[in-house]
Amino acid sequence: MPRRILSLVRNLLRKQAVEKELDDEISFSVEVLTREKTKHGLSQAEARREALIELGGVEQVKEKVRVARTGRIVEDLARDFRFGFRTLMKSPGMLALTVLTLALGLAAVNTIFALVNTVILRPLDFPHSERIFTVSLRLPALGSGPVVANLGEFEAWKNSGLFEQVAAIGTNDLTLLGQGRAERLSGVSVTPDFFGVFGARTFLGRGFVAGDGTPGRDHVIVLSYALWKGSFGGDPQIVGRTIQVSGGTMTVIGVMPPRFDFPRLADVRSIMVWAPEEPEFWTPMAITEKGIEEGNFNYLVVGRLKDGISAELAAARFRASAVQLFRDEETQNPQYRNTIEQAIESLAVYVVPLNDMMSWGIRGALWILLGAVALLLLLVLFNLGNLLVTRNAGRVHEFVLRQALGATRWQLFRQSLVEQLLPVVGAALVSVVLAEWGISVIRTIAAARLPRLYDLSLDPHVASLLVALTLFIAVLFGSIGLFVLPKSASSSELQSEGRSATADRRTNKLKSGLMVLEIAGSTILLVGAGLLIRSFADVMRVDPGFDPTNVLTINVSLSGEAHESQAQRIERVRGLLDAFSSIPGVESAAVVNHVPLTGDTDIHNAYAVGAPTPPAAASRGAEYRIVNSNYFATMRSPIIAGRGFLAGEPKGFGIVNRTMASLLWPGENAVGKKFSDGDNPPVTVIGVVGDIHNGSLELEPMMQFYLPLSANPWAADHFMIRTQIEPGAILPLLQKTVWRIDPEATVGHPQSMEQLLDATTLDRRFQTGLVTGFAAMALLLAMLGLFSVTSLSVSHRTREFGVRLALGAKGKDLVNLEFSRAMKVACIGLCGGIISSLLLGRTVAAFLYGVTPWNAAVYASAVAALMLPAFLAVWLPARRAAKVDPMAALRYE
Amino acid sequence: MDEKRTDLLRGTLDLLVLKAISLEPLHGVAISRRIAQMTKGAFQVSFGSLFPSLHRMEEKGWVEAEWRPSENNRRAKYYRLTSAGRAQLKTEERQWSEVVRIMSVVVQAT
Repeated sequence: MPRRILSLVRNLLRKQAVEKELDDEISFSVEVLTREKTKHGLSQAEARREALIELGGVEQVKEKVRVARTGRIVEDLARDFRFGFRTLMKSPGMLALTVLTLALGLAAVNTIFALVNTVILRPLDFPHSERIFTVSLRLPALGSGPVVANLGEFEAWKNSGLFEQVAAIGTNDLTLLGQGRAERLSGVSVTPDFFGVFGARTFLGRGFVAGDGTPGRDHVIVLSYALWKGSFGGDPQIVGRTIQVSGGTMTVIGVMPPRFDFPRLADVRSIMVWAPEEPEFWTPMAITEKGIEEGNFNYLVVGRLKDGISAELAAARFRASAVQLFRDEETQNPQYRNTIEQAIESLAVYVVPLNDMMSWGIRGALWILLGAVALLLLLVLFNLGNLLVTRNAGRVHEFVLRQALGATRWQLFRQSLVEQLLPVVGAALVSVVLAEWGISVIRTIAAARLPRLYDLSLDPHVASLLVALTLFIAVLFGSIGLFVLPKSASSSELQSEGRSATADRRTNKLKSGLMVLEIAGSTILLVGAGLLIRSFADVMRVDPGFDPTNVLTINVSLSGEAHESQAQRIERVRGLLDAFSSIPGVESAAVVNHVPLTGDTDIHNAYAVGAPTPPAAASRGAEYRIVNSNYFATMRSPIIAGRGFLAGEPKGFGIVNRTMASLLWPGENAVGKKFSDGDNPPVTVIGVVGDIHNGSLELEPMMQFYLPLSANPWAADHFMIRTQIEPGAILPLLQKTVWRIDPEATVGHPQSMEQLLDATTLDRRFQTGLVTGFAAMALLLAMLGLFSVTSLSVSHRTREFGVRLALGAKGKDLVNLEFSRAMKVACIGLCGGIISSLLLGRTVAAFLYGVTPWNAAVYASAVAALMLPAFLAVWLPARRAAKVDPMAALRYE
Repeated sequence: MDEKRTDLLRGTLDLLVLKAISLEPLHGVAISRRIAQMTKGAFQVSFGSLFPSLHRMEEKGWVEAEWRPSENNRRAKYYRLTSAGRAQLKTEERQWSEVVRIMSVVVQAT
């Protein structure tokens, strides 16, 4: 073999040296011929001429040699391909299965890695995007996650001098009027430095400059590319034009390029759940005294830190400023000293790179997904390796025979190489197609929920790396059988059984090892899937607090809201409700300020009035709701104590939810108690209702209190309609009803509550489905592996079985022998898998709901799910051991 | 030799070359002369067939090259039979005898 490789290498790499050798050889030959002819009496010149003629021309001969050399290589390769292909085709089923599972494994890893790469690893599309940070707070009163800031804090941070540019971002809704239409637009209002933070250039016109947003310069607007194309027909003269909106006119000063759409809901969902899905415009905002006074925590703060300023330093400084603001408030309102001190103690400020903030909630899930998929690919590769080792082990006899017929080890190696490479290449091609498909699927279903997905694409480096890895494994395992062959044939080898004992032991150990790993991997995935399924089932059992079937919600903005009195407003709202109720097919109608399950909310403080010492929970925030009298009836949320609102319920009375009742007045009847939100007169509790989930079903519901319409009728603009028929059919009727009463009203955000409920569990469903799919695939692979390995082992040992049977062994004993051998491997794998799952428990705990990672029932089910098919996979082929005909087996060589 | 008899005779050429160098290593021209000598002048191997054949057999491992210095400071490429080549020679001789035996029976039958 070394000589062969040497000559090949010489041919391919040292072409110059080879040419020189050929030249030397031919020149020498010409000389010899010339000398011969001079001996026969010719002159030097004539002899040389004759010599060249006899040679047939120097170049011609050289060319013939060169052609012969390359011709041989191509000939050999072609023959190897044909032979390899024919061998593969002998078992097309196995081939198809191998290629398919390999393709699936490769595609899965490539797709998920593309996802991880786009969402987490790749830097953002802005210049020096690593210097862009978001600043957020954590306050106990507002729940435990990070939240956006208020304007006072923004000012303080801006003045710290640590930022190059920094901007505050709040949401803004406008209605576009003119040309007989009323179009509801959602966008954001931003401080003038906004575009500078991102280094973003406008497509047309300009962005904002210092001073925009102050009175006299606040009626300007920058449009998004999509809005400009869609609603303004891509008008090239748009800059400078005025447009009609509710509340006056605005001048368009710029249009952003197509890819700029910060902040998209999918990107900032972790801290700003009310961000627009796709911002359609940007308006300028000025920081006013009034804005700072209001202190609403509504503003996303994004800024570019100066070079050399670390995130930790900034966070520490910003925290100090926030604390200072709290202390100032304390001096002004000493009666809240305790609460404020508690707030300060648990205050945390996060300065997080924008990229990280975007992937905050889902990073863990994505990494786990990648891990699962990589594990799956590993299993596929193990299977492949196993298959190759076992197959080649059975062909040693064939190889030895071919050696006797003149094949060298190198030739055998080369030909079996083709056999291994062909399926891998085929699988790689198929996997590319599958991966592209997978990516388009992800983009369609998840683009609204996962950040940065418009960038999603396969990473060619990783794809090639994976293919190379697979090739390496295929070659490695495929060649193991060949290394035990002798350098050349000898007749004694032929006449022997054709298998050396050492080769047997070695391959057996390898096979068993691979099988154990495969089964362990499958076990881990099965346990994971079981835990997730349990969690999912538990989440689905959570009572959302109302009955979402056949409930539709729409948002109605009536015209002239700014000019009506409270009485007029209540009158109009009641009018709408009556009109809705009289539509055929509508069971009842109600109104609320924030729709459940959307995550929209308003949070106020709530303290129990008259309590001896405010308990620690007194400083918790409560969700603030305005509802009409039959809201709870419409939503089918039972009142559990006291009564509901009556029509025309006056201010000063409210209903609290169960959580609030038990937190503010533990162990007592909340009805009759009073609570206050700090600024307004105290409210008397007249009833207690169950917890209605505002956001995800997995979060603990917060304290909630409901006030009647009379408290703030303008806030109630989301109408809940319970229908007797399919809600979608009612929508056009609702719209017509609204426009009959008020032609200039806008009707927006129609949603079905059932769909909303589904949407909140979408993430979990996706996760669970995915991991279950992986577990199923892993199980299938492991069972296939067991089956093929056992059946191949049985067919190899037919001779041994024949001998045993002839010596009086019972068929049943042989079956048991094979069976127990294989099951031992499976059990070792199972134990390994269980131990690993137990160890990994803590990592997985974050993804579970309502079940610990060490749930015995789940483990038991996983064991059963693995062992039952394993029995079958081993028993079916093992049975054949008993069916061996002893005579035939003994004759078989 | 005619081109159209190349296919049929390539196998026999290999046999002739191997036989020619079975006693001692020879260079290309010498091999051609030896073959002419062995066949008593019946086969004059063209160099356009001989050299490709030699290089092919060198790749297959039946012959190996041995460079010897020649006059005029050149080097000459001598071809030597390897053990694989020796085995191949035996095989080919055996096969050739078989073919001759069978064909004689066929040709002599009426």
